[in-house]
Amino acid sequence: MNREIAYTAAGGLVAVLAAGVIVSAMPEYYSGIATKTLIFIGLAMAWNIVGGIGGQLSLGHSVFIGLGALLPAAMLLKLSVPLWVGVACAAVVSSLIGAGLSWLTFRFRLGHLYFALVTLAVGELGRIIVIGTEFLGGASGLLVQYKSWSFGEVHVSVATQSLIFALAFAALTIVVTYGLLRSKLGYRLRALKGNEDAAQAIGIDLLRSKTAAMVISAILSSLGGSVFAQYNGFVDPEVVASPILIISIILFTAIGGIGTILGPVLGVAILFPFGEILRGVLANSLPGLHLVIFGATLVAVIRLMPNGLVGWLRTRMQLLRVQQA
Amino acid sequence: MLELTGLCAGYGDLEVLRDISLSIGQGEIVGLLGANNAGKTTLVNCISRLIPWHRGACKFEGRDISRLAPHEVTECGISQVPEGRQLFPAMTVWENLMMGGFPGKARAQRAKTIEYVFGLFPRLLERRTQLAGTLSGGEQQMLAIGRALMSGPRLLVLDEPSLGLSPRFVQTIFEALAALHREGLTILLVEQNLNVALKNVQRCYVLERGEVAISGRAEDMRHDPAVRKAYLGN
Amino acid sequence: MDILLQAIIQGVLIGSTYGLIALSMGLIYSVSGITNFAHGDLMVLCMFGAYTLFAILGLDPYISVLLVAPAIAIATFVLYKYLIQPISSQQLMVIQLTLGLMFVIQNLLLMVYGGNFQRVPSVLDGDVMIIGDFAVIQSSLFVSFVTTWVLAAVLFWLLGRTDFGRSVRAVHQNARAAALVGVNVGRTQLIVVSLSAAILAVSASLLVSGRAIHPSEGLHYTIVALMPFVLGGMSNLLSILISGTIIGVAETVGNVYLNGPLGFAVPYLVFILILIFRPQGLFGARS
Repeated sequence: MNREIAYTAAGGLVAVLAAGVIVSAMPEYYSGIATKTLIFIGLAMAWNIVGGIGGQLSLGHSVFIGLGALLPAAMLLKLSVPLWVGVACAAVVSSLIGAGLSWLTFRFRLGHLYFALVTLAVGELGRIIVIGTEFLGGASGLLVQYKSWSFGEVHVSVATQSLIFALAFAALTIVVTYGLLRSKLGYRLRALKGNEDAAQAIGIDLLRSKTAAMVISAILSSLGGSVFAQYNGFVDPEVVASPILIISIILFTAIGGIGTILGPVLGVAILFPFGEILRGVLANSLPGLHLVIFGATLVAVIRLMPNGLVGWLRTRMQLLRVQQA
Repeated sequence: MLELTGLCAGYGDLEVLRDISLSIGQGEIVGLLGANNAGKTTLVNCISRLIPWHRGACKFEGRDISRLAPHEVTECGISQVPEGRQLFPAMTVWENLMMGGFPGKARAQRAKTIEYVFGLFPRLLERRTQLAGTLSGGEQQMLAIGRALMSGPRLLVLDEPSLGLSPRFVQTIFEALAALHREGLTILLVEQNLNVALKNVQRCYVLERGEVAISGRAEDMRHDPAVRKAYLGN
Repeated sequence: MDILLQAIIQGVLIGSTYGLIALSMGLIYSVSGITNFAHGDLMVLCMFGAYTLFAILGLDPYISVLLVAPAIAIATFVLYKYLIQPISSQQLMVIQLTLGLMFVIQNLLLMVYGGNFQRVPSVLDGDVMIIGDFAVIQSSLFVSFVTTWVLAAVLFWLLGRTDFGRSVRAVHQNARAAALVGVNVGRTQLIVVSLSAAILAVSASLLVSGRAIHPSEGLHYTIVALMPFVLGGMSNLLSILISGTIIGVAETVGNVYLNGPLGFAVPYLVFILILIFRPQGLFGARS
């Protein structure tokens, strides 16, 4: 099991880095999509810590992403606080909210459905608060002008900066996930996911473990939100703070295979660019067709390949090995 | 009346029952014995079709019931009194009995059958508006049996009816079963308590680790050391 | 004070409809353990059904519900039987599948009807009722209120006094035992699900009068309905209805004291507050 984790983590890292190198040489439209894909891979990995490893479907992660996207920009524009301080603040606030959310839903064993419903309500509450708070940009959002960097003769454009941040973020989430899975916390989370009763019977603290996972996930998601804001320049609250964003991410992850390391990467890497390109092509004629396709794909995958693409591939490979033996 | 052949069943890939064959004649009281986890409840749930079979065939009164859904088995005339009673806790005694009479054919006779059940268990008549979840263990068992009788079964299957009951209630239950048997009801009784079982049945099967280890007349088994061995392991 | 009283009355009225949407969620959950995250989107589908029937046949939504309800009941029956029932034992899978469904329905509606708000005119548009000298309420809201509680009364009678209703309660309390006494559990679940869909269609036609509708509002309605659903303990239908009233009042009173979008945050805050003190819901049982 550990070797498999190591291989997939290494594979994921290599793939992400290779993608980054290739993409930086591509025209800006495609590098933009690639950057966004990397960010979404990272967000999916961050969510997967609670969703796949923890086994709890959180529909409220949009709060963390939204905070990460809007708070630093707000603090910069309205309080002249440097961005990196704002990013750190957003991460801290996200971790506190994550801990609170965990306390609310895990102190008694109320089940997965309860968790999904309550986090969804919290996610929507987050969206309403963002839209109703002028400081966070209200309904019109916030616009931050990023400047390109110059180190002597070397100029790094804003687009390239975004790519670098996105790469770093995606790599970070993969590394953290890998580290988590090999740690004691990862062991505890997997035990809880497999059989809550048995795990608690041997002394694993449900609340502490779930809270730890939620806090890590919240911080990473917040960072992802900040990177996303940097890429976009203009932050639209309906995009970053809306549950729809995180539900799309869940969709990709589920198709790839929730609970595996490679699943979120595969799901996002295959579907997201496809969707963006499709959206560009169909822009005015059939808006939303790509989302219909995604939704229908998810329904089909759940019914036909319940363990997602990764699970399906794994069974295929096992079958091949058996045949060759 | 009931002919079960070659039943293999279990949960997922796990096989709990291996090649079980048994038969129950009309008007008999047959016991199904065995230690814990021998597979008795699994077998009974297979007859009721609550558990999918891997292999096997079953005929009841000449009709093939191997592929029926659980509610169809009840409609055919086999009624199970499940282990742990499995009542409807938020319904009254009366409502539980009414639910027992749910199958179409039984519904027309419901009024008469309820009277019969109250005659068999007067305690239930006293408590007919009480919620089933608040009854005592013995009363719950009486209600479970009464509910199973409401569908007018020709074969009554009871899974560990004496479990957790005081001796007084156990006696009441078995007296009622004897009365039902005298009136022609065929009974399959699952019992863990060897002595209680052998006292009340005519024939029995002993299950050991998912297979029929011994079968024969109760009289013969009372003194057979092999039976006690199968029961207690080694 | 007058404004507050007006808001409370309004909240009770609108809350009844929220409660009705949540009740149909509760019915489905109590008999099958399933929660459909595309519930609100199914309701928006009904709303656009009413819109289309108005556009083609000029039907008032209070009338077209007679066509929409059976149509959505059949559609939901098919949906559950072939997509959801086969995986109904895996709760997480059902949640994911219904989220996918949400995307499909929402964006199909966007593709067909476009991204603008639409209105469906009804006979009660603009009608108001005056109570004494302290409250003015929209007639459509009053009709919603009465319809909800009459429908609920009929439902409770059905569940409490008929054989079918008893079998539904039996499946909810102990599905295994229900099968053993001869109840076709799968079919009972499908019938209840179809019935709930019809109730949802009624909620849709009640809400459509006097409101602008939009294809992407489905998730919002799902979220608004899930609060009474959870507060009511997910299976206790009467407490779900009462919780709907609480949410409705929280919304209208919130809008009195907080300007702009923040007023709509109040029901969510009330929801979280109640859960802090009673995580199992107002009338739910702690397992």
